[in-house]
Amino acid sequence: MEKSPARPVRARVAMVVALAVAGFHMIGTFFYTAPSTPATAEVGGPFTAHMRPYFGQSWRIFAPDPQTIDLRIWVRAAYDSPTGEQTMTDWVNLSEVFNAQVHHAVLPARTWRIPVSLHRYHSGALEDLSDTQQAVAFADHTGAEGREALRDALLGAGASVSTVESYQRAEDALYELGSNAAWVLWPDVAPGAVQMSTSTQGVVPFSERHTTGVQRPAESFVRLGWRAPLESTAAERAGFAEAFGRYVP
Amino acid sequence: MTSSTVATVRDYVSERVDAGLTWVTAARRATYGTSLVRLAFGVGAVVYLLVNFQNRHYLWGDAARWVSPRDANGGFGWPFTFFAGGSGATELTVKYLLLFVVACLFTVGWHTRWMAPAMLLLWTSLLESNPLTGDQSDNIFRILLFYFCFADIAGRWSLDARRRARRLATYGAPRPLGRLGSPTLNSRVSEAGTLVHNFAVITAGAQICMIYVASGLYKAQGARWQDGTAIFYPMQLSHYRPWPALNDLLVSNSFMVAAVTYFAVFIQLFFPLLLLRRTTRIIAIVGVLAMHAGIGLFMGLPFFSLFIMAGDCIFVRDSTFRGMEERVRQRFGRDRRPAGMADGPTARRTAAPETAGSRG
Amino acid sequence: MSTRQQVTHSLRETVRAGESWMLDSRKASYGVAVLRIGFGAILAVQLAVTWPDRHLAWGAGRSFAQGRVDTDDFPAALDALFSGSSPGVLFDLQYLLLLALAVALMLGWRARLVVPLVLVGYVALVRTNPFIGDGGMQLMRIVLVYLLIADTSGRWSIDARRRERRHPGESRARLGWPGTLLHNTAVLLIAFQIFVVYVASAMYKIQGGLWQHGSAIYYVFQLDEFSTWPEVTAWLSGSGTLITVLTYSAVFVQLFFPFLLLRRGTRVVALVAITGMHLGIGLLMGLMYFSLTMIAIDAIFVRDVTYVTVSTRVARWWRERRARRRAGISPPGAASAAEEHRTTVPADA
Repeated sequence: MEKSPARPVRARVAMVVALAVAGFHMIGTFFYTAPSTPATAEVGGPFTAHMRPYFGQSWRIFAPDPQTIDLRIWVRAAYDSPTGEQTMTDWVNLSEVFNAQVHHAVLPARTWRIPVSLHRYHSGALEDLSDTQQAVAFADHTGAEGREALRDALLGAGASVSTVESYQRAEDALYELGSNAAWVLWPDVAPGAVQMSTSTQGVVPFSERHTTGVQRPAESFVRLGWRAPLESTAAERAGFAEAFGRYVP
Repeated sequence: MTSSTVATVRDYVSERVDAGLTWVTAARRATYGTSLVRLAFGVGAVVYLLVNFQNRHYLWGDAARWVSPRDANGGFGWPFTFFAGGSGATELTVKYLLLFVVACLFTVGWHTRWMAPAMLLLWTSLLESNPLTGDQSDNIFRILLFYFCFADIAGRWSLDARRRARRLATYGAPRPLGRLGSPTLNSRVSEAGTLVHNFAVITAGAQICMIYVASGLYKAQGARWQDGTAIFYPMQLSHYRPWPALNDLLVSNSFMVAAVTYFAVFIQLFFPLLLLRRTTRIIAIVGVLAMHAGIGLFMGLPFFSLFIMAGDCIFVRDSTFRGMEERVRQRFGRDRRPAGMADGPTARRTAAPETAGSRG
Repeated sequence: MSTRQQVTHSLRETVRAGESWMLDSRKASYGVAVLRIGFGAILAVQLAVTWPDRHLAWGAGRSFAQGRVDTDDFPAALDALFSGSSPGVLFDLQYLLLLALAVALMLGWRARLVVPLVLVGYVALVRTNPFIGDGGMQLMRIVLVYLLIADTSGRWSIDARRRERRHPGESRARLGWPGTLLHNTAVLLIAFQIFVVYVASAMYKIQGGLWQHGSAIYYVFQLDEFSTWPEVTAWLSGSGTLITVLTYSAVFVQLFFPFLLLRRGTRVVALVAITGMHLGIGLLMGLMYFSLTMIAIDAIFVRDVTYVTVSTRVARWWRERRARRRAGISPPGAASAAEEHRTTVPADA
């Protein structure tokens, strides 16, 4: 009654192995992407050990709620005018400069979301600081020793070494982008210091979208302190300027 | 290329429409499932009435008038006012016994076309006259029974089915009107009955699917369901601990708790779509039956579980029930049915996949 | 047959069907080819479009991202590729090489070799700037890993053509049953992965008040970063009903996607709906690469017979069109067109 096709035993064994490996990985993917449960803690470990970095993933896309605020990054620079006075530039909204690239573009260049991601990365690190530690970040730390001064002040405010490291990594990313942008934005001056600010602004609530004269809520700013421009090589600066220079109106 | 693509789509659509029309007109669907709903609802009601007979005055009689301030008969007006506002001792006993008799007749399927609406009216009247005793099963019972008033829920395992078989043997054709009317009229009435029956089945099925999906969606929003600990909490509440030792055993292993919690959410959420194919349908139906059996046992909600489990049975195909019936009969002795009641040789095979959803 | 016999019988049948599925033929052979072509094209287009911005995106100009690269989980060996400190010319050469590999992937040239090279190059490139990234990049990386064991160039590829030319009429399935087993395992893994993407993102959305309220899409449309076509999104946002329908269908199509595939009718609905959703997201929110990545992966759920039918039909239409052009005759009348579709039979259904 049962005529199975001629199938070598090793094919069957290989199939069982392949399915077992695939099944193991599927269970790992489930544990890795689902919310953490007691089961994750008890049995999930071995299944998810291999997930990072190649299978790292997160699917909280626009979830649980989509973002309802615009995230922006601002920069300004301080320089010595030819007459020797300390002068400051106006604030420039870097997010606007980048976002302009995507308007009416079906296949945009990949660079346009940098400010938003950088904003998230920095605010995440900033939130890990206590209020007094945040006050340190909002203060000015200029000059060649500014970075060390900031680190010592944060440590002095009770931050752990790892917290300080991850905060400074985020701040460096922000200020390096700002410094490189400053070189392009104000080509005629040599910035002695740059200052960054992040901002958020809510949108018109859904229920009020037809209300006449309705305004978006006021933009709220997180103004960080002045820092010395971050050192970068000529190649780095040129590589940044090559693309960013085209964005600047 | 375009014209032939359009033609393919057109052929496909018309073929699907034809299949749909055949489904609703050619035969009464889910006859075993709907009969099982009748039996479960009937037996559940009979047991419920017996168990609460001692307490009837306290629950629904004059002794229950203390609920009046928040009563308003559960928002139900005429004709669901049979028990409204309490009743005197004798009056209540008489009404209660009337409901009991109707429930018994409904269960055995005696003139079900009349007993089903009577059951709906009396049962809803009784339960809604005291809103403090209800649970979600009242809604399921009432809503499904309303749909099933339009369905033929006495097609199997009932006195009606017996009588119908006898008539079929006498007249050689279905005689829904009995001796009345011409053969043509009888056959038209039977066809109309089939159509209405099938739409009632579809409506009840849609209702059950919505219950499952909605409860799955609402659960998915809860933090305790997300972190896989939800089922632990109700079992700590004194009124959901009918078997404390059993409850504690279930929640002692946190992997078990998480697995059961996630299972409950996913089986409900995906229930309607799992019905699309035979294999997944078996998983879905066995899954929800197991879940509700578990709820009934572990949380002491037997009537809730019984009613919704009966509802789930309408998704089991008749051929499956027929196969089971066949097998039970083979094992436990001979066929004692009257000659006319057999479905004939063609219908007697074991669970044949004649309508299996394995297309595509 | 007793119940026990019946159960063992049907279990055995299931096991046999499963074995046959895994070992007898390569599943979704056209779908995987479409996936390969899609990935190659998406990557090639991204690299080409980003060419003017390449140094800011992944070259020396992304020095602000180096702190995160230094602390990521990827093996240090990858630092050798697309290093921010290497000379610009070297970076450009690597970039162009990856672009060429993407084109080779698209064409199905030496796919067994090209797929791993693309994977390494792609991971090395995109890890250099974690500030550029979306779900599509995660997914392309993961699916490229699965494609390592798939037979991606079995159809519609230079490889397949070459094999056909050298050994005409022979079975195209190389590497015998082990190749088939690995291919089918890859198909299973890709399908599971996309199910996780859809179901997980829908489950997380269910938890959000704005998705429940049905206004989530409106808020997305209001943000600067997704205002690619502000005129269109402003018009869409005008209708509350439209916004709610879009919001709810986005959740439900994703949530139920795996199970809608179970039957042909619902599968067509699911694939059309989800492709429409992706195109909408891609166009209106400037997330085209993400959307195209998802669409390319969803291609594996279209059956081979459908691909064969469609391609046969397109090929014939094209031949006839050319023949007509050459002969200079007018298009055939309605009668012959009606007759034509009757004779349309899938080649190897």
